[in-house]
Amino acid sequence: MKLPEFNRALRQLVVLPLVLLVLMTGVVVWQIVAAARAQRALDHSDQITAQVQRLQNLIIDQETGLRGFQLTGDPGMLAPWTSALDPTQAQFEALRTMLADDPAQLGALNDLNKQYVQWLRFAHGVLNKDAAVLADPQLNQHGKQMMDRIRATARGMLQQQQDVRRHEYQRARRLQRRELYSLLISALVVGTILAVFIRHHVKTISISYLRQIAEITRRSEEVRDSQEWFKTTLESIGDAVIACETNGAVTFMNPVAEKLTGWLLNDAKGHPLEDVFRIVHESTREAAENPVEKVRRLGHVIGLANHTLLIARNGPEFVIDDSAAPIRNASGEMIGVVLVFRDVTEERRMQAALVASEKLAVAGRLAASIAHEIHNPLDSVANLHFLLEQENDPAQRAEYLRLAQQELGRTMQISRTMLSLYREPRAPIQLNLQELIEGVLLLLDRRLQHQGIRMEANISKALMVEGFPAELRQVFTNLIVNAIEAAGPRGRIRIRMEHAEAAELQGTGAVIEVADSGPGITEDVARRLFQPFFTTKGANGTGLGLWVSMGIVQKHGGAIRVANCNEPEWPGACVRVFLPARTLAWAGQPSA
Amino acid sequence: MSSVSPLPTILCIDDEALGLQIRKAVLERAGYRVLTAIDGRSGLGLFRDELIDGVVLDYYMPEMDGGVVAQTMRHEQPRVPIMLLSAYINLPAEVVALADVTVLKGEGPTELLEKLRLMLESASSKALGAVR
Repeated sequence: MKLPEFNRALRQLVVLPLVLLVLMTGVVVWQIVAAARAQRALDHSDQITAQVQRLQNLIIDQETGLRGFQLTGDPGMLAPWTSALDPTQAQFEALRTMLADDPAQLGALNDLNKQYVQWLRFAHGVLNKDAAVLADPQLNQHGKQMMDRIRATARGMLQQQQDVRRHEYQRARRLQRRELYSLLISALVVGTILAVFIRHHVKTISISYLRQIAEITRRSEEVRDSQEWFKTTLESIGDAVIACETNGAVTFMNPVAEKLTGWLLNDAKGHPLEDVFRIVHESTREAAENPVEKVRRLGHVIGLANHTLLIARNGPEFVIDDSAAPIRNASGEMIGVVLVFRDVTEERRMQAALVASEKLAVAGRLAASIAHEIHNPLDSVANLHFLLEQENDPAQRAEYLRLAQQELGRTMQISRTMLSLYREPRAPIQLNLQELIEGVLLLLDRRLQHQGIRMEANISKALMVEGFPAELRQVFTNLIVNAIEAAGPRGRIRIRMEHAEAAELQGTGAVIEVADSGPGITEDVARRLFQPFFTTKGANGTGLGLWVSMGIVQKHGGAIRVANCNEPEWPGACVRVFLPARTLAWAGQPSA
Repeated sequence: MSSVSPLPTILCIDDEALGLQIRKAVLERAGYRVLTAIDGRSGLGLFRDELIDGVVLDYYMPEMDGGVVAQTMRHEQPRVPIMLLSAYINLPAEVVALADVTVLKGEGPTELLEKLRLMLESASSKALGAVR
């Protein structure tokens, strides 16, 4: 139930009972008024009866006075007669007013009045006659008859009024009963309506209330569950997580973060992040920028600088890979910063091991052709030595010696090339790319010849770059061996080298392009070429060659791109390596 | 003995021209008649045209390697002994099986000559056995 509905229900709960009670009061008042009117009618009737009786008494008093006078002749006896004369007349007038709404009784009253007036006339006649007349029995009889008629009329009136009263009384009783019943019925009706209505509303409200309670309970459980879930998730993930306020005060750390920083959450809470999360550059050991500051400044997710070293509270150092992101509330306002980082020390070690293993694999592949290269001239030298021992002709001997010298020279050149493969300077040196690539081609010459591959090497430009010769030799060996394998027997390989002008984000340098006449690469292969352990050579490849080459080139500040040549003559892959003329690479830097 | 020449004829095949010439001189000094070929194809031509008593074959050659050459020779004239020369230690087993003898380059001329002599002797005794 929503708030407006609830308010409407409350309003109905007040208004309806009020209306019903007003209606009920109306009914009751109506009944009371009716009952009161009936009571008044009853009273009126009683008054009329009393007045008629009084009138009758007055008339009887007059008659009594008259009779006393008749018997005694004493005028003193006429006192009641005299005193009742005027009141009787007033009584008639009063009764006439009271009976105005009752024509029958009014008619009876008029009759009575007429009879009374006749009797009065008779009474006056009596009073004016002498005593003897007065004693006349006929006269008395006549008066008595008149008076009896008056009495009969008054009795009739009283009787009639008695009937009216009975009728009014019954009506009043009926009204009283009706009043009671209507009170009871309206109370019952109103009570029932109120009971049903209130029950309905209270039920609706209570159901809604219970629902709200259930909803709130469910929500709070959900909130608790989700909080629990997030907490467990944060605590369980393998990455370290630190959350802090925008002012940098730490609010949360998961167990991995506790382990790496050497701080326990309870100790770290409220401490500034830079105390808990001490980071320096891996090689320079200069303090790295506080990630909270950086996120606050930039307002978006940042990946922290590479080669970040985390120094734990208790001493150990970890190479970490990390990122920081703003925490925003529903209105988008930044309320904190969360750091996620990971110990990559082991990963670095693994990468170094992989790089070393690829170096060994390259050496292994080269060893076979080197052995062949060296064995051939050595075999010739041994043979020449054998011939020299048995030869006496000086000219022939000189020829054998010259040949031996030539073969030894070849052996030494090969061994020099081989040595340079592993003799690495500490700092990058100026390299002649032409010499470097020619050296690689010399070592691969046998292999090229064996496969019958036609090599178009256009590398006569004297291009110089800074770098580590052994590593770059490894890169080009890898690229050319890949090209040999892609081109297949009697295939073709083209190597081109050109100066690269400075462009956006990149200084001057050299671009070396190796193209082959092989089948080219598919999109899927292109996407995965630089992933470690990805190989198209089955069991013959380590899947590390291009990955390591990429690492080496990137370390030199260069880039490798692999695409298909899309030239009719060159349907195969085309690898372009950019090497900057000046490099910022340093010897200890990992190449992957 | 099928050869008409008094000297046993050896066919020497190697893509390494200088090495081939020097090996030829050694073998001639040891008393053989030596024919040389710079690749498998021309070697097989000589093998078909000439009467050959033994073959000294380099394994690692462009275009057609020693294995293919040896297989063709075995197919055409199975009795001619073949010595396989190589700078590699790990030659494929099926290639080694084709040759009578394998010699590692750099073992030295004495070893080469001794193994060649034994190979030819063994071949001729087998041939005699077959005639008898």
